[in-house]
Amino acid sequence: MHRFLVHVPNPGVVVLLAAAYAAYLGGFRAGLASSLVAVLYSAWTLSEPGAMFHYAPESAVRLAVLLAATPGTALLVGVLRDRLVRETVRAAELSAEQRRRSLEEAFGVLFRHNPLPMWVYDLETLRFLAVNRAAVAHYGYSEEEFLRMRITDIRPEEDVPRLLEDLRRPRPEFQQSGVWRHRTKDGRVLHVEVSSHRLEFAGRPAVLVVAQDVTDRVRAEQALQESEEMFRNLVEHSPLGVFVLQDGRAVYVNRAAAAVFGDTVDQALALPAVRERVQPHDWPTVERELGRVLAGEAPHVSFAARGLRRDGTVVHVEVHGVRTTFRGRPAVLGTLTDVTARQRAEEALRESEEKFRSLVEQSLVGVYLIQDGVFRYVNPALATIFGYTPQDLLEGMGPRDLTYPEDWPLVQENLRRRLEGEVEAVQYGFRGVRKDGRVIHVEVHGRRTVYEGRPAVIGTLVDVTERKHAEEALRALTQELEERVRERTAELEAANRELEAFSYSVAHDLRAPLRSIDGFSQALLEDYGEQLDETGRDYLRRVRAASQRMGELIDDLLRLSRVARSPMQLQEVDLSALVARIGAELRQRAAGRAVELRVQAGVVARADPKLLAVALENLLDNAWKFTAPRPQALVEFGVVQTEAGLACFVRDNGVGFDLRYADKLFAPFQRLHKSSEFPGTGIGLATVQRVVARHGGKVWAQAQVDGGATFYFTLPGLEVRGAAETDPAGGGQPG
Amino acid sequence: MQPRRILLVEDNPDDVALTLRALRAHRVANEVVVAEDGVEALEYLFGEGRYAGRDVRDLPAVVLLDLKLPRVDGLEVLRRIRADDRTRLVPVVILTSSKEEQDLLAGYSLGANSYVRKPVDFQQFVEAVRQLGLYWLLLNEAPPPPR
Repeated sequence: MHRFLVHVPNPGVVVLLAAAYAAYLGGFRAGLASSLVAVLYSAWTLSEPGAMFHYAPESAVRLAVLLAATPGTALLVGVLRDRLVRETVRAAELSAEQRRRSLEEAFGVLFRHNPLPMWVYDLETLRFLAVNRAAVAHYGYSEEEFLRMRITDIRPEEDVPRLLEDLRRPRPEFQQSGVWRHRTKDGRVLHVEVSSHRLEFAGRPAVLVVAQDVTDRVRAEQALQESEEMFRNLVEHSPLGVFVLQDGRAVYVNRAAAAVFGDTVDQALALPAVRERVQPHDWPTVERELGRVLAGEAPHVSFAARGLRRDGTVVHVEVHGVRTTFRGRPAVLGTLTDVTARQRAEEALRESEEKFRSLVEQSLVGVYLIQDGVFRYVNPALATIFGYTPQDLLEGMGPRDLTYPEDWPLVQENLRRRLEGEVEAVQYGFRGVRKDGRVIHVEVHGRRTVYEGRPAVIGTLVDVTERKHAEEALRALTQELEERVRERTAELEAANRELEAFSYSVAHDLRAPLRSIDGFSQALLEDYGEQLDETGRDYLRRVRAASQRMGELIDDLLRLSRVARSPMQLQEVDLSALVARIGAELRQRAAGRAVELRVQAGVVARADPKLLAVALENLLDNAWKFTAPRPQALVEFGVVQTEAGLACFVRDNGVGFDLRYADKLFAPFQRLHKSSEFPGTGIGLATVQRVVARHGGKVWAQAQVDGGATFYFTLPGLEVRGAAETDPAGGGQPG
Repeated sequence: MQPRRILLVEDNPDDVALTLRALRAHRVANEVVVAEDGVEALEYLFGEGRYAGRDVRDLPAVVLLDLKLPRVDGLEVLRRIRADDRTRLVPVVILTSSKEEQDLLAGYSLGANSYVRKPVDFQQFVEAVRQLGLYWLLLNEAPPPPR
C-alpha cells in the first residue's frame, strides 16, 4: 500500500474509485463510461503495453475482474446516488409544495380581504377573472356581475379609447399606471391609482390590478388648484396693488401695483431695487417700516409715502404690509393704493376749508351753527356781538341764552322750521341780550344744514341795533319834517288865502276908484263936453287913458299872481292848435293888419292848458305888437333842436330889441320900448317866464334891433307828431 | 203896463250913479230899484224889513248883483234867491270888477245867468239881456235919442 501511495497506485483501485466517483457525480452510465475510458486510457498511457500484461495470467484476470467490477461499482454508486438525489429532491419538492400551498392560501386571503379593490383580468379578452370584496363593495357590482364584465365596462365611455391604446403597448411585468377614472355601478366617477402585475391565471395571460381610490385626494387637489386659480385671478386683476418684496426687490407685483408707478409687471419685476420707485425723502420711512415687519417687530404695518413714477412724477401711495415667506425666506406681502387723487382732493378741501374758515373767522358778520339747542360753532364776530368769547358760547350755551325772553318763541319757531325741513332758509330779526344785559337788535339769515350727519342750522347774524336806532331817528325826523311841512303848508295855504283875498281886494277896491275916475270923466266929456274947450277935453281924455292903463296894470298883475298860484293840471296839449286859435283871435282884434302866421303842425307837450294859453297869448300878443310897423308881418311858431334840447319858438320879423338888455326882459314891469311906441305893462314876459318855470322849463330870447325877435321855451314831453311843417290855414292874408 | 223893475244891488254910490247913467243913456226905461247891501236886497225880494208888505210876486225883470257887499255878500244873496221857490227863476246877472273875477266866478256855478263888467259895460249888458230873452222887456222901448 505504501508503494501504491508513493509510487504507482494500483490501477484497479484507481479505476474503481474513478468509476464510483463518476457514477456518483453523473450516475451509473456516466460512471461506467468514464471508468472504461479511464481504464483504456491508463492502459495505453501509464503502462507499457506489455506491462499490462506483465502478470500475464494475472493481468488478464485482474483486467477481467476490473472490467467486471467497474460497471458494478459505477452501477452501485450511480444507484446509490440516484436514490440519494431522489430522496433529497423529494424532500425538497415536498416542502416547496407545502409552502406554495400556504402562500397561495395567504395570498388568496390577502387578495380577498384586501381593503383595496383588486381584480384579475384576462389580458386578451379583458374579462374579469377574479375580483375581491373591496372591489365589489367599492364599485357596487356583485362578483358574478364583475365576472360577466370587461374592464372597459367600469370606465367612463370617453376614457375607453385611451385605455385600449394603453393596453396595446407592451407592458412590463409590473407597472404603476397612474390615475384613471373608473365608474361605479351607480354612475359615480372615481379617481383611482392603478398598479398592475402581469401574471398567468388559470393558464391565461392575465393582469392583477390593485386600484386605490384617490378621488378625495384628486378632488382636494382640484379644489386647491381652483382656489389658487381664483386667488391668483383675484390678485392679478385686483385694482388694489399687491406685491411681495424680498431683499429690497419686487419678487411679485400685480398689474395694479405696477401701474401705480407707470410700470408694466415685467418692468416692475426687472427693477434692481424698489428704492428707485420711492421719493428719496420718504425712503427712510419706507425702509424702516418694511424692516419692522421683516424683523417681526410688528405683525403688520401701514404707512403713506410718496412714490416716483416711471416718468418721474410723484405719486402718493398708501401701503399695508405683512410678513410672509416666499421661497423659504422672509418677505413682505403688501397692498398698495394710489391715493394721489384723494390726497389732492384732501389738500384742495383743506385749502378751501382753511380759506373759508379764515373768511368766517375774520368776518365782521356773526356766524353760528346750532344743533341740539347749543352752539356747535360760533365765529369771533358772533361772540363779540353778544359780548362773550367764542369759548364761553361753545361751552354749552345756546341761542336761548342770547335771546331777549319776549322774542324767544319767535326764534324757537324759526329754528324749528329749519330743523324740521319746513323751510330751507329764513331771514328775520329779533332782540338779543348781551352778556352785560344790554338789549340789541339783530338780524339773521339762516339755513338748514347737516352737521355730523344730523340736521342743524347755520346762519349769519348782524347787529342792527345802530341801524335800528338810525331808522328810528330817521322815522322821528321824517315825522318831524312831515309835521313841519304840514305846518308850513298850512301857513302857505293861509298866506295863499290871504293873497287871494288881497288880490280880490285889489281887483275890487283898487278898481272901484278907477272906474269912478274913468266913468265920471267920460260922463263929463259926454254930458258937458261942449262947455269945455279942447284943452279941457284933452285933459279929461288923459285922465281916462291913465285910469284905463292902471286898470290894465291891475289886470296883468292879478293874472301874473294867478299864474304863480293856480294849481297845475298837466295833460297833453296841442300847442299848434292853441297857437292857431290865439292867432285867429289876434287877427280879429287887429283887423287891417297883414300878419302871416306860420304854425308847425303836431306840436304837443304835457302841460297845464290854461297856463300855457296865458303864456302863448303873451308871446303872440308881443309878436303882433312889435311887428306893427311891418307892412308884411311874419310870425312863426314851431319846434327846434337847441342846446337845452327840443324847444318851442315864437319868431317875428318885428322891431326886435337890444340883447344887452335881455336880462331885464323877463322881470316884471321892465320894458324895453317906450309906451308911446308900443303899449304894454311889462308883465307879459314875466308871466311867460312864470308859466314856463312852473312846468320845469326854460325860456330865453334872441333878437337884434330892427331884426326881429325869437323867444324859445322848453316844456316837458315836448314832441312833434307827424311831419307837417306849417299851417297855411292860419294864412298870412289880412282877414 | 208898467215895465218891470230892475233890482240893482250895489253899495258903491259911484257905481250906482254910473250904472244908472249908462242905462238911462241907452234908454232903458225900466224903474231901477237900488239895494245897497245884501240884506236890503233880500228884504226887497222877500217883502221883509223896510219892504214889508210888498207883493213878492212882483219880481224884478232882472237882478244886477254886485258880489262885494256889506253884511250879506252877493254870493249869499244869489244862493238865497235860488233856494226860494218864489225867486228861483229870477234872472241874475253878476257885476264883476274884472275879467279875472269873471273867470273865477265861472267856476262856482251858483246859478248866475250871466256876468257883466262894472260899471255896466253896456255891450255886455245888451248881450246878457239878449241871452236872457229880456230884450223886448228892457230895450225895445223908445228909439235911441239923438246924440
